[in-house]
Amino acid sequence: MTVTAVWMLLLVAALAWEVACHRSPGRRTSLAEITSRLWSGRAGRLLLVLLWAFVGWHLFARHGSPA
Amino acid sequence: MADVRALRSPWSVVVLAALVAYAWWLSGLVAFTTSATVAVAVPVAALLAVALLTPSARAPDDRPRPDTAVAARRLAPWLALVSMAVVLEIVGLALGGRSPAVPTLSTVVDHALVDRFSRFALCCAWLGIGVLAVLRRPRGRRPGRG
Repeated sequence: MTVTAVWMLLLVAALAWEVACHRSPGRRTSLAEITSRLWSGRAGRLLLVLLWAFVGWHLFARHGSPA
Repeated sequence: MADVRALRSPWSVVVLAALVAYAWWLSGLVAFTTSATVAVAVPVAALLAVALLTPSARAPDDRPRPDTAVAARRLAPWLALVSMAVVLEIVGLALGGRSPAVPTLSTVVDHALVDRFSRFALCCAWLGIGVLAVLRRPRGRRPGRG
């Protein structure tokens, strides 16, 4: 339960930081900026597609029911 | 980021409706079946095609390159968050992956995937990220800047 809360906290922190990055552009690097930079090159694009594919496959094709 | 003009076009409504319909269908499929695997593979193949066919953008020469120390400092919060997530995941996996005390991210998300509507919401988010990647405007190509 505690670790589940830590996962939620990490997610909220990531979202909060992303919002903070968009509020002060140029001072902080947002996740959107990082992915945008990666998407500029072919290797980065393939890496992002691979990551996206893994998430989709893991969530919707291979998810298991919790014990 | 995504091309804002593309998001404002009338086609965006069609794309959005198709995305929602596809997400609803995909969220209703049973995991570990061929249909679920194929339903995930179709958008993956589409995005892979876009990734391979999109020409790589060239960074403009006049743009100042950030100092490595500054870039590292700006990335530090993300690195810290990812490091914490990786440590938690490794500990969870070391405890068998299904430990109630230290669940992995997959175990936490699996609880959300039991409900059709939360699965549908996650599916919309996943497909939405893919669509935004397709609509993305290439970096470093500004008219009149050579």
